[in-house]
Amino acid sequence: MSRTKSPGMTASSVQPDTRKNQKRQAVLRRLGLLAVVCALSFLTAHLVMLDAQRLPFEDMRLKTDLGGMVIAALFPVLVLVGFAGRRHWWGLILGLVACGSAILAGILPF
Amino acid sequence: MRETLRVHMGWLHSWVGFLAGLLLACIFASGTLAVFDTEITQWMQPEVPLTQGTSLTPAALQAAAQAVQAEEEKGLSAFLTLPSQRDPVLRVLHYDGYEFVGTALDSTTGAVFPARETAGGQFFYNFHFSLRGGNQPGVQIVTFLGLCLLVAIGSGLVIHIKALWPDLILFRPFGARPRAWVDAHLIMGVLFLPFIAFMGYTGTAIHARALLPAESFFPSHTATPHKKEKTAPKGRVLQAGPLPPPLAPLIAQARDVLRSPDGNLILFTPDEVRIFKSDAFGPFLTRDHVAFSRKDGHSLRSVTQSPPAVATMQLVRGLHYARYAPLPLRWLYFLSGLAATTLAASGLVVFLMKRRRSSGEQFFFRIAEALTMTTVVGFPTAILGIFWVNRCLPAVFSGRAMMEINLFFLVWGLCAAHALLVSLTRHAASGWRQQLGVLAGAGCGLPLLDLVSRSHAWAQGASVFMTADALAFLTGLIALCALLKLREPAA
Amino acid sequence: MTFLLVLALWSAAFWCHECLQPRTRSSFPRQAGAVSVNQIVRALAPCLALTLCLFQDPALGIFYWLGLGSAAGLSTSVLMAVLKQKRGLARMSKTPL
Repeated sequence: MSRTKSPGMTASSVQPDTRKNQKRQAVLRRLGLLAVVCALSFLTAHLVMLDAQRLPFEDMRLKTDLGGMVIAALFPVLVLVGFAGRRHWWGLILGLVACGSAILAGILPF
Repeated sequence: MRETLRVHMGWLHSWVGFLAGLLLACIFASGTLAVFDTEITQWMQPEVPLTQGTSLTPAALQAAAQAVQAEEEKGLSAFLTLPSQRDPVLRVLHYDGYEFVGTALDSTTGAVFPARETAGGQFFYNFHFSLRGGNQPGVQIVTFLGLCLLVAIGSGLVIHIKALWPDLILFRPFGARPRAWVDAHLIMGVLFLPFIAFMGYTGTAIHARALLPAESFFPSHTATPHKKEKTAPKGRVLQAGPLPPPLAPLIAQARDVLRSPDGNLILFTPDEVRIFKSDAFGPFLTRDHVAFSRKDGHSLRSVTQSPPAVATMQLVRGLHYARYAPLPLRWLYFLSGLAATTLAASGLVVFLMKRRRSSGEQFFFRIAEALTMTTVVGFPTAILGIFWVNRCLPAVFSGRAMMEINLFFLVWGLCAAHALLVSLTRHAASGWRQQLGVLAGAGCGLPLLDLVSRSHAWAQGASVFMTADALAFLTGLIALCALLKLREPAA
Repeated sequence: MTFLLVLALWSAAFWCHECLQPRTRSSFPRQAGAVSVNQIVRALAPCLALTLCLFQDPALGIFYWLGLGSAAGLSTSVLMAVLKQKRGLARMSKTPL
């Protein structure tokens, strides 16, 4: 839809369209942000679960249980913080840092 | 509108809450019923008397051991649950892929009670954590919804944080309809927040491995595949073991070591008999047990201590499963579960109320309303349906457990079809009234059906039957009140 | 008996909490000195309830305390709403949506 005002249109007919457009864009922006944040959080959670396998326990089930406890706490926090921090994208940056930390924890030898 | 944090979080809370809430309300409701799963099974098997004590005779144990061996010969991995205060019956059970089912034995004579086959309370327990969809995708979906619940709780807290303390118990049921629903949503969320957050967290943590398995999603080509040992599927055995030795002395010895006077669980492998501590003694869901040789009954080992990491998980599981809870605490769990169900259901209604006018009741709104109707009214109707089916089907009907479950889903499916039909033809208001009418009838009629069916003597275990009937009647009454309220013009 | 007492203590705490809110002042007028009494009850009643619960059952007391607290909060809020309705004030609240 064209954003330019046509000369014959009154202000009252344009305003609702503009508002609708703005609303749609805001929703799309939020959806995009949520999708990116969820993908990052999911990847971080997956890496945390893989890192949990390096815990010094013999029982595999115990390791996944402990990994699960961390994930259940971490995932919602990451999603909320990532979605809340829009200004200067610090939410996404935080998500990236968390994801990077999880990768590093998997790579670096302990 | 300014994009404040509150607005931003409000959007997240609304959409995540609504989409996840459609199933979360059902998960909460079935979890609430699962708190009393044993009692529901007792209601659904009225032929099993509940007046026996917890004492066991060697004859009964011998009969149980023979029953276990007979099951093993059929390839089923059977186990025993010994009588407890809560369930004073000796049971021989096996896992059928969804529920633990089997026969009930007289703890004195060892005779099998001619009890009707039923899904019982186990069905609600299974539905609660897997939607009866197995590990994949059932448990995965529920775990994902658990994560959504935690996100919704967090965003809800951010929205409501300023009013949290002053509006702690603010409830205006006599105000305008939207106000009353928002207040109901808030009061349930705030007052029961510790319970809901804790159960959401522990439930998600327990099954997180189903959603995020410990294998990499990006398999390396160099890695050698794991060699899988040949193991029987869950609930099955590859070969039957010998007849176990007399169990009475083993149980006495194990109870002494485990300090667990009743309700133990006995598992059988081809070489061992393992007697476990009852889950009723403490919030730790321990797997403490004493293992005996299946050939001659000599003690092999005892496991009675767990390292701190294991104990932590045992506590997390124990608190979520609530098998340790004495009756008053069980009722508090039940009440809190009802509050969580109300929270989810009221959230769905608020979501619709907020958008009814602005959406112009377009196609997606009508679908959303149909789904809400299916969850809020259809699901309780299907639950009551399973109770009705239990009393209406003949007691000796073969495959009646599966029939109960199929009819549960049939009733729920019919409710969904009806909701879709009325919503898409713009008659949602009358659809709500019709479904509420059916729910009211099913609830209020259940005690009558129980009375008329004459399936049990009211003197035996009367509290179980009377409580279940009373709760069904109460559900019917609430539905009736809602129906009458819906007939009034909106305030 | 102990649990009933705990329920009563929690209810008293919630009642006092609601009475301390400015919106309730008009429907339940306060007497002089009532504010401090309400504040004291609001602070002490839950502590006393916790003590009673732990005394009754040291292992599970905390769960009883939390559960009974939620139940008491719910019942007090319904009672408060009914009382306010009787005084004809409930409809004064503005609609949020």
